[in-house]
Amino acid sequence: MRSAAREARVGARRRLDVRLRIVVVMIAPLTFSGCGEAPRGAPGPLPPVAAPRATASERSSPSAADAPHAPATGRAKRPATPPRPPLPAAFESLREEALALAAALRQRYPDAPEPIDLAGTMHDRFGNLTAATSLWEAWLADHPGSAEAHLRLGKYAREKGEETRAVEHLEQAFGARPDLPGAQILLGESLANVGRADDAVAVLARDLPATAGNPNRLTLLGHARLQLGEFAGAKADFERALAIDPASPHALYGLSIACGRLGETEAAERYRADFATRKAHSLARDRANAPARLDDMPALLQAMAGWYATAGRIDLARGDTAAAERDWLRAVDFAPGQREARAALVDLYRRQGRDGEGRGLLERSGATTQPPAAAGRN
Amino acid sequence: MPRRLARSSLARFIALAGLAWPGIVAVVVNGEPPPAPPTDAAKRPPIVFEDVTAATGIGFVHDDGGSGRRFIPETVTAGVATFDHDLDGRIDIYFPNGADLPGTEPPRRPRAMLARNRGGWRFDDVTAAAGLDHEAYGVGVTVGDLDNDGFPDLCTSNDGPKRMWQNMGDGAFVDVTAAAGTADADKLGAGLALLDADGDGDLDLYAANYVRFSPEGHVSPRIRGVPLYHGPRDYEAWPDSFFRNEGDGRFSDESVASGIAAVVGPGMGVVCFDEEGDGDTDIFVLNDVAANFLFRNDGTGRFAEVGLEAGLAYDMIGQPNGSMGVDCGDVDNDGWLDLWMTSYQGERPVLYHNLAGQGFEDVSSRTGAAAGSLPWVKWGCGIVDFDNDGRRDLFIACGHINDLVEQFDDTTAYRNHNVLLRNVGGRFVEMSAAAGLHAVPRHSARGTAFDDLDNDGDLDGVILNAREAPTLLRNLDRERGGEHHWLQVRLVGRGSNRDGVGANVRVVTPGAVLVDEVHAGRGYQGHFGSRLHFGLGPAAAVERVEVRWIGGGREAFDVAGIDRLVVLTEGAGRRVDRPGEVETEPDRR
Repeated sequence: MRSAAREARVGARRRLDVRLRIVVVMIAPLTFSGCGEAPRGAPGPLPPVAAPRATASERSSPSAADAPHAPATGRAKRPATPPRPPLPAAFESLREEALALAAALRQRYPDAPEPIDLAGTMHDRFGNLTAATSLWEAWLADHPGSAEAHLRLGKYAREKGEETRAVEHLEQAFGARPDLPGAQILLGESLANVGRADDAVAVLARDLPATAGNPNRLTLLGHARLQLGEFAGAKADFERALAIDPASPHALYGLSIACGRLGETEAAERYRADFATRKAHSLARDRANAPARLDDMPALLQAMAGWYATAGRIDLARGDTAAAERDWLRAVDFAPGQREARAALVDLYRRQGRDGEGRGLLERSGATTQPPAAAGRN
Repeated sequence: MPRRLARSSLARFIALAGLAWPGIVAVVVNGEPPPAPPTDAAKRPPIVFEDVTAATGIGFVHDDGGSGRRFIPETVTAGVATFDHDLDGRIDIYFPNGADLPGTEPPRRPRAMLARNRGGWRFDDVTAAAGLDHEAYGVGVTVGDLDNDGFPDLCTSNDGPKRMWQNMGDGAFVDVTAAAGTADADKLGAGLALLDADGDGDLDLYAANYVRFSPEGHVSPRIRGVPLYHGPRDYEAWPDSFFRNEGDGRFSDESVASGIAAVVGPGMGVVCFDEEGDGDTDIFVLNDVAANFLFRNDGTGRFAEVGLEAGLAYDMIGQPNGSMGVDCGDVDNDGWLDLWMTSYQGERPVLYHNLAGQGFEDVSSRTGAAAGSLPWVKWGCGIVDFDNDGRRDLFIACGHINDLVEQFDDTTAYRNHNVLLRNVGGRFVEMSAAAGLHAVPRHSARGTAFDDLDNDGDLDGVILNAREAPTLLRNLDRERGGEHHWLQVRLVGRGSNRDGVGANVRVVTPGAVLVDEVHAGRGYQGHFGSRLHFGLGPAAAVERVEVRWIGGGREAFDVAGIDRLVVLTEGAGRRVDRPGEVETEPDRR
């Protein structure tokens, strides 16, 4: 009994781990919205896939620590992978396929939040925040107090300009799960946005494991302190942020203001000059990227690949290796270089004794025969 | 018509409801509770507008000349100007218009319009008689007396050469661009402003320019399959231009010599003001998705760009915004002029607080000025005291650049309501619905202008809407028995420029000093407010009005009575060496 209970706890913890990592992925590009110009729902770096059960032999494998793990299924004969449809040529068919993927996942795993998150991210990317909101509202109705739901609803409310409502949701999320990735930074930023700088400082000053090394938290904290006239404290926050990310334009800008208000004229000028140089470079780079802004279809194909990779991770975490393989293959259809899917497939094939298929996959995608060491840094 | 009447009735109902239960009305604004205002705010009547467009007889319809190829000038659309062109005491309206762009078939030949105010909220189209029936692709306009003859002249910026129109004093304007030398080649222009940069008694011209656009080889970008407009980051920018008035009808291009052309950005709105209180006029220029410029004047018409140093180049976190329109005014009655600028969808409008001439601070979030407009693209704006309570309120005109935006983004819309933020003393409360703005048909708004169009003592609004008829908003403050007094001031320069552009005016009441400056060019690429308007708040008298003239001295004027327009002529007041001191406390932030 004790063992079974432990298994259940471990299983629940792993499911939670997957959830958290997925939430990190979805939030990563959005945590400092004022600074980024990524389109809504843009794919972020993908997280490592949770490992359901790692055997001793798998742990000793060179790739075991980083690459996805599938349950060892032996070398039994497996049904051939069904042929996959051609890639959608138009946006509408791409959207249909994406939403069908999310719907299928939700049907297979009705009690899991990950498919909801994936569907919400898709709706967000497709410009339908209403649908994304509805999904999480329904989830919240079934799972009162869900921190994930409050986090997403808070983010969506903010995008819609409903900042007071955003703060309410984010306070719920942070209150329930202070370590929920994204909750602290989003709440702190939202509180500052509605003029509650003192509350923002209280939230952002908490040194949590999830954000201990996050320069964005520190720059937001610094800006909240600036609003309160705490220039020395703000300067210290910006300096800490700059120590973590010496290229942070936001830390440099904050320092130029804080030093200026503290009467440290020379330091202010120095930071200002450094900031201006970096800003000029980023604007020039932005202008040079004009051709890439002509059509977002290539970016959408990359997003689709990322979504399929996520779907594969969700399937794998629940033991459906065949579905995971289908998802990952589709991911590399959309983007042959999709690292997470590629690595997951290579690892799966290796453990299924299908090394040849793995090598073929890598050759087709132009990669070396060594699988990427760190899945999840897309 | 019945539909408009119904909406108007709804506006009145909302307004009355707001009077009776202001707290309750505030709750329904935007579907979420606003920040709690100070308790005394609930006792004051809210601001209320009535849409009187249909009754005015104004038949103007904006046309961006687009053919569906989606050229960037279409997104710029235009500002609007309000001014008394024939000195009959009533404020008239000039609406710039687009022109047919390449590929537009059949030609539509849109025309600008000068709408003459004949009182009673009726306007006549006098465009042809005024000689303004031209085909230029207008994007910006400003007004000022360039030849100091007492009649306001007109400057227009275009997708193409700029134009200068001399007011002949008989209601007609003559295109004097060639003689003035201000055509400025074939550029896509933007905001214009007039200032006496060198204190020589005549007005010089600052002209912002946008991007180097050409229809040749144009390809529309697409997002999620929907065609888009290019943004400013997809083009190189033009440097802005500066023309010095030689006093004989000619202007010399001193863009380089003045230091203006030393920096380059995709310019939009412009406003000129004395940012540091040194007695000369500086220039603040918005740039679209690039650092804004603050050109600090050395008093001789030579400028240094100090936007970053002054804290005006970027928003609070150092991010360039899609900056659009800008206005200038003292929102906290501390005697220093603050700045209010609009921005793109997903960006907050920015209220820059003037730190007593020691730079600026973004106080948008702290004051609540950022509320209520985040999802919208924001354009025209004003720092205007709509209820004469002595505290200047904030207005934003909203509308997206892309008529198809809802197909790929459901957080915003092409047509929006406009936004009003009422100043309740150190904070702003979003009260667009309570003010009747949600009862006004939605448009994709651009330029805005605020003047007392019916001479009743409150400031009304004119909004130019992209591809549609404009909106005229009648402020009902006086009709509803507004409790506060007011004073309007028109300046007549003698040694300095005729309209007193750049002059600093201090209205001293028993409990407060209200400060403003005369601008020629403000908001989104437009002009308004040549007559300064001061809501007096609780004051029932004005002790004196002090004027610091550009290039001249400082004078104090006694004012006989309030609730009226007073004309103050340079040299007719008492010379004073420095501003009088008054026991007053600025609004707390």
